[in-house]
Amino acid sequence: MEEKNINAEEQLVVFNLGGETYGIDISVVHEIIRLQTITKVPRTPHFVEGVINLRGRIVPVIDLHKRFNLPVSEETQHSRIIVVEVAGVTVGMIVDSVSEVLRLPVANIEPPPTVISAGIDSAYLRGVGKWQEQLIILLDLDKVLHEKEQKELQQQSFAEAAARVE
Amino acid sequence: MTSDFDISQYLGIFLDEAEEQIQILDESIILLEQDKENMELLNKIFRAAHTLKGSSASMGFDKMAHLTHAMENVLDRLRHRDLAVSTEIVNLLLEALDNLQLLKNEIVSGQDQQVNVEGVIAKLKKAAEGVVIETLPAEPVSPAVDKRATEIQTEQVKVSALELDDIEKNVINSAEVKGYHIWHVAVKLAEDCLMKAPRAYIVFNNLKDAGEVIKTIPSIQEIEEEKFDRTFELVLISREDADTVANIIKSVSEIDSVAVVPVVTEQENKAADPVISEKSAVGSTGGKKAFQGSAAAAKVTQTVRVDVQRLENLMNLVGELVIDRTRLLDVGQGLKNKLGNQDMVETMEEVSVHIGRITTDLQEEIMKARMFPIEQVFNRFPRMVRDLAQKAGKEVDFIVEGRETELDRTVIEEIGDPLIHLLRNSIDHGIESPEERKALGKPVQGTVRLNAFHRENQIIITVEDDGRGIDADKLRRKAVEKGLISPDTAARLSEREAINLIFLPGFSTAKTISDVSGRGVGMDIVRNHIEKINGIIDIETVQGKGTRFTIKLPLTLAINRSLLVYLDESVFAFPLSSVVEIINVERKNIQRVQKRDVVLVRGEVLPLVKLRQVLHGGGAQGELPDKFPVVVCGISEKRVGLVVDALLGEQEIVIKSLGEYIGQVAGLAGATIMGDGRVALILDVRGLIGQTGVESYAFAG
Repeated sequence: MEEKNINAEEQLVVFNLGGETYGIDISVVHEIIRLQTITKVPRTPHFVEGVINLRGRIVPVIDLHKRFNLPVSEETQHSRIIVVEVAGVTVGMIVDSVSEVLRLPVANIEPPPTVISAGIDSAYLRGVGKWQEQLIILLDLDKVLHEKEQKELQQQSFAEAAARVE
Repeated sequence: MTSDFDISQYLGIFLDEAEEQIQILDESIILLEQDKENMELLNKIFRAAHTLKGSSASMGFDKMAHLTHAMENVLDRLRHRDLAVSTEIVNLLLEALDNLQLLKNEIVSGQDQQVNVEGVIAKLKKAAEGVVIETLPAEPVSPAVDKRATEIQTEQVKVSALELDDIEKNVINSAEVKGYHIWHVAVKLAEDCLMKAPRAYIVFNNLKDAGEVIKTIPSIQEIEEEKFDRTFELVLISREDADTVANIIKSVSEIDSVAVVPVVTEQENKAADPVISEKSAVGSTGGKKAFQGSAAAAKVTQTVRVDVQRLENLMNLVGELVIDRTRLLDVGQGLKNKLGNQDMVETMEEVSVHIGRITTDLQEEIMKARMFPIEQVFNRFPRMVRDLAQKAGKEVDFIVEGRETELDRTVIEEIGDPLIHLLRNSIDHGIESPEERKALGKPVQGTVRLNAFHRENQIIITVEDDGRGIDADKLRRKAVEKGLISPDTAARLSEREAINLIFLPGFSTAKTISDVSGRGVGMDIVRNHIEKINGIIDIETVQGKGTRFTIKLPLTLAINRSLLVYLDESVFAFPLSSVVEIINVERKNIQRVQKRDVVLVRGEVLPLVKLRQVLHGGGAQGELPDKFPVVVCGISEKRVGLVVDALLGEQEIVIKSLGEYIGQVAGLAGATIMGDGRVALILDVRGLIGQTGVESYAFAG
């Protein structure tokens, strides 16, 4: 890692997922919306919940629980969809709740340890931030959204499904 | 010449214009070959070449300027009947045109690829000089041009016929009574005049002292916007004589020539009209107006070029409005329930109704803005057909109809290639050689007809020839030879099915690969192209009589008329173009054939597929109710009945993609947002049917 300015800080959107605290760079966050009707799309990876109408745009929504193989939690009034745009792709992510926006000094961020939580693969992590005795898991959204697993799942062919129909 | 001014900012405009002129040349030169005496066409061609010369010269594209100049010289001789329009001349002009296209591409790509135009320029020069002796009598002086006209300079500007409205006529009449001269002045600017509008302005300014300008051609506004070529005209009421007026104008720099003639009174004008209109166009306003042929002249609409993306965005915005409109109505209803018939609530209701209406209109207008006449595509073909026919040694009369038929831009972009291939097919395989036709007692010249028209919600395009037709048996043999089907299957195929073999991948009927068709593309590619834009292609053929290809296309790709159905609380949309009919089926009528559910519909076996299973897979979840709706979908002759939960109705929907993240999902064409804001998925019926295994019924491929 390159040398970083002691005073540099990152602005994060912090949210909760399966009892853990996560953070993503605020600059990729378009907006945070309440849960709404999600239209299921057949033949998509299991973590793709479907699509929503975001003011006239069709935006796919993924469930981060499912993406990280965490147990899916109940939908509550705190549940939110965080709409992010990474590398030209707009995606909504379902989270348990969004807690705050905070500035975290870069000095407080450590590279990801090998094992950090029960479910989430460390490949999706960018690092771990320490803030007031609390650990914030910083996500590498590029990996979360563009992991090839997604593509593979998508390739699952119709023929296969058709075979099951018989 | 161009060193001290930045051409890049004009480059776009120049290229647009060049494209337009090249188009005009392309169309008109072909037409000229058929209608050699058509002076109007010749003038149109001349003007296009002339305009290109002017604009390319001022942009510093010398090669193009030289080439168009050489063309212009030949055209001028043709116009003056010093030369006759012959096939050689047309070929030469077309060659020059091809070079123009190359030069244009060179400019677009920004790299000097050294397109060599010297050869064709030399040829043009020869043509211009070569046959000059066989001259016809010089062109008679146009009756509109009075003999008393003051003629300055050898290169004379010609004035066009005047069209005066009533007010102008009144002004002129009263001025005449008072003893004023009414001069019709045509001013031609120097060829390399860079600031045409300011020049024109100075001319007007200087004339102020001499009299009053009551009319200009083109309009003052157009002149200010430089919407004219090198010539502009004006009507001046003045005490001064023609010489004085001409001299005032000549005193302005960068004026090439001036013509001053008295305005002809109405009676004379009328009598001379037909002749004038033909000649007058010669030196007239080079602006857009002049380029529209006389047929199109009536429809001079002002246009702007708009980025398609921008229209797309507008469309999306309107989509949002539509959704908000529905919500507004809901809120209004809610308020009414709560507050009763208060004034405010009523006003709000009125407003929401009004917004609703505006939104609908807006949506319609934007849709229309995406529509273009198919002319854009069709206009390329006469030239192509001519070349193909010449190469194949065939005589072809090419008839194009329905150029004005409008369709969505996205469709227009896709339809060109398939049509090129079909036309090739007709000329190569359809039309017989002249000798063969003679022997058969057919007219030596074959006919290829291209037609486009609207029928209900579709565009129909047909390519028709009166050639030899398609031999079904030959296709059967060929398909067996190529190992595409077994001999047994071949024997079982109906005539119609056999003819459809032509669409199988890897099939070509050409015995020898000709220069024009042997490019490795088969009819299967044509079909794929057309299906990609939700179209259908059909063939009808009669041996010895000819073949007709019929393409049916949706009006637009962005908006689709759909049948909405319910399935597990979700809404799905079937594009109406693939829905054949809707039937209600009773469970007790289901039969099993080859382990597949089928029903008999009017004696035909219709395979049934549960939409739920195709979409979500899985075993037979739940039993079917006693009676259920079935959407019968068809692609070509194949039919399949898709079982749904309930029907919702028909609606126009705006097609949106599922987004990059999800990408293409087999069986889905995209998504749409319904009036209430919910998302419905649009089914891709071809993809769906492909997955049901039903397709393998039709061809034992």
